[in-house]
Amino acid sequence: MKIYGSKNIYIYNFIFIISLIFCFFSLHSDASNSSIVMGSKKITESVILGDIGIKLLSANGLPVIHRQELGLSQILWRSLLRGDIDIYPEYTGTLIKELLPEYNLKNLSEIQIKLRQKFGVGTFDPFGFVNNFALGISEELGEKLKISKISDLKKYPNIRFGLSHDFIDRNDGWPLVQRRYQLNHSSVIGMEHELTYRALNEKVIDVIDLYSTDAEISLYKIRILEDDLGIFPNYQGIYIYRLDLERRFPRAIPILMQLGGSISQQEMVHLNRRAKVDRLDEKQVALEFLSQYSMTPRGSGFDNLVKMTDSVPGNFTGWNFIGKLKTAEIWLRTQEHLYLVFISLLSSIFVAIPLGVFAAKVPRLGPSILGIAGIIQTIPSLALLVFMVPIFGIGTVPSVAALFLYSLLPIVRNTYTGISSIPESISESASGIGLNFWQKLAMVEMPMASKSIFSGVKTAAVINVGTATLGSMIGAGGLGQLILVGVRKDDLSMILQGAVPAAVLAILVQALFDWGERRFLTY
Amino acid sequence: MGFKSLNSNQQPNLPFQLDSEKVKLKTSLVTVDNLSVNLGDRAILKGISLQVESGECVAILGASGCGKSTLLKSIIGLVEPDNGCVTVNGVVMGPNSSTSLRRKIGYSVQDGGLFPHLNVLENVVLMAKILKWTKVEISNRVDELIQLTRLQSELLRRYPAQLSGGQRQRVSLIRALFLDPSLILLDEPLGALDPIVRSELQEDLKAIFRSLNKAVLFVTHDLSEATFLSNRLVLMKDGEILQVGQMIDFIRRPSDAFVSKFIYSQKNYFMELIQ
Repeated sequence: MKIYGSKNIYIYNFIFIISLIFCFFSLHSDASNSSIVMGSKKITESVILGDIGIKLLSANGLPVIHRQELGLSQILWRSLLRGDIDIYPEYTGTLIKELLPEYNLKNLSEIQIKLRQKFGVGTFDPFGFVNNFALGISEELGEKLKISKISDLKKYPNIRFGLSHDFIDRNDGWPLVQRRYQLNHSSVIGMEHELTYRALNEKVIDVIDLYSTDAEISLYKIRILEDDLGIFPNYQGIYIYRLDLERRFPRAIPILMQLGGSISQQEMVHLNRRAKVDRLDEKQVALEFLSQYSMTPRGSGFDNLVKMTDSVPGNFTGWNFIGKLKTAEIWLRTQEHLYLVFISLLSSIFVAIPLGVFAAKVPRLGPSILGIAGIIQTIPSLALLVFMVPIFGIGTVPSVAALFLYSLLPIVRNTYTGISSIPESISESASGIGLNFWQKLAMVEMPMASKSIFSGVKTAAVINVGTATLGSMIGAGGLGQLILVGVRKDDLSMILQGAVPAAVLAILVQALFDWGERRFLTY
Repeated sequence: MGFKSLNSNQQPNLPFQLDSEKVKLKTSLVTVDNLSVNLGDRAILKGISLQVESGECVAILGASGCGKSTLLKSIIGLVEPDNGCVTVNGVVMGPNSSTSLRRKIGYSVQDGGLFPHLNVLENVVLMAKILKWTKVEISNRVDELIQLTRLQSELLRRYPAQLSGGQRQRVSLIRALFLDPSLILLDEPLGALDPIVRSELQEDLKAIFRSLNKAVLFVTHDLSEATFLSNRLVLMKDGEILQVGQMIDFIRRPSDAFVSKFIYSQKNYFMELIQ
């Protein structure tokens, strides 16, 4: 039987946690100063716009990093303000409505002034397309009935609408259209957005809602109806960047400036179609676009660009599950995944167990500690990740921090339960035979609570394996990356290549802990 | 013997100055002075006073909930008195008193209170290991005590869950006796045992108490057991001591109607005694 130097254990724990925290911060301040970091959202259009900038800059010999698949506008915005990314493609409507609603901005120039003065953020000229809500009609029918504006619809009361549920429900969607254009059509059905295009194609319905850069516009030959009363908010695509980029990479500014006004509505629809329908890689789509223009400076830059275009292989991805297993990437993502789970779980164990003991030993504070851990648990995982961005930026650190917080409750609660459920007679015997507080804790209470604590750690580990898939939303990689890209590209095979290993991992972790429990916790 | 024993007339070094009023003359090993303990607004003990001398065996009797166990816990310092005090060997006991004082008292709770994650041997030697006894000292002491308590030595490797109730009591007793305490507190040592095991263990306990010649304070609700094992009975009711003395005093000069009621309620034994 070992007799532990219990005080030392706590000191070591403390040192360990502190050093972990330092590790986090040192990880965090990585290479971002030496290159231009481009961010993009987890929608194809944003990735293409990011890649266009990336290709253009790198063809001009500038060091660039693309952090793609970042979850939400909020995440990109906060990362930009923190300096984790330098530039990313945004929409004017998103800036007005979602990111800066408190300033009640009206138009582009107000946005530009506010961004520059208040946030130290600069803007380039808009790309030239808008990604607005819109109503569309088949080109054929539009031509036949001479419909080109939304207000033309009033003349045809029998026309049939097939609208996505979301559009029907939201106040700035169908209700607004009906009210402002005074449309009283009786045939309006709600359906899944993906189905509306097919229904339109099969002439089951006549008018659908869409986003004005959807790839399907070109695929199904859809005519977008002009919003002649201007009721839909304007979502112009635009690069926004940190002003310190002008100082760090002055050469990047005129290069990126060339993209202003260079992507027309039809061009953006076409690019989306190349990526989503023809399933080309976004990088190649970006190169295709750039090679049409001689935007790059004369000389080597452009030559490089053309060479790169040639060297990218056709990347058609069908529904073949076996032929294109990305073994190397799955392995890499699994490692990233395990890293996230392991570090967060380990640090959580070192914090949560002492916290659980404390909760059990100080009855006055016990309920509050459990309560706080419980509240953290009720925060939706995505929201918790987003909360972490202003504190830790993007990447591994905020994900580990969020997973750490998620692991706390099961471990704290089980430690607390394990210790407080020790029978009074045993607890009194321990004091009665003369064990002091720490001896009693180390030799009687912790060993007796170990089963409960262990199962708390197991719960936390399994939850973490699942939740870590969300880490990719804030750029932490992991198996969630495959799922995100798969969802975005509508590629079931890729989704499965992320989801199946994640599920297998969860089962393995569970099995490992079960084995450990049988092996080591027998009394 | 090589292990540390506490001589009853040796005053421990105290880190503080004792209030001279609180410390009785050290003629008594245990002095309970006007002790009151409340649990919330319920009074568990109401002004108990009691003295226990070295070498005597005192049985604390009473119905369930009369405060017997709380009295024992106060003596070993697990319970904070609301009024009055307990001194053992001249030192005031309480939750803040040093754990080293508790090591000079042997304590065994009703069901044995053995640690389920440790085997019998680990249970009984835990404190001695912490106090850094040598292997030889420990193994001698184990041998000595398993002989005294008549515990089969093959049980030493078993876990508490694998023991019978009587075996558990014997192990608990070994653990209580291990550091050779000058005072032994037993809470219902035979409480949950069947009659055969019980009478066997009663005999053994009597022999052990006699051979050790230490102060023993034990709690029971069984009159025959109390009379059989002790030289002095203390009868409690509702947190108060009704009467202290011999069985014969209880019968001849009951201080309260409850004393007679308590004795006559255990008629079988009483009849036996008359015969």
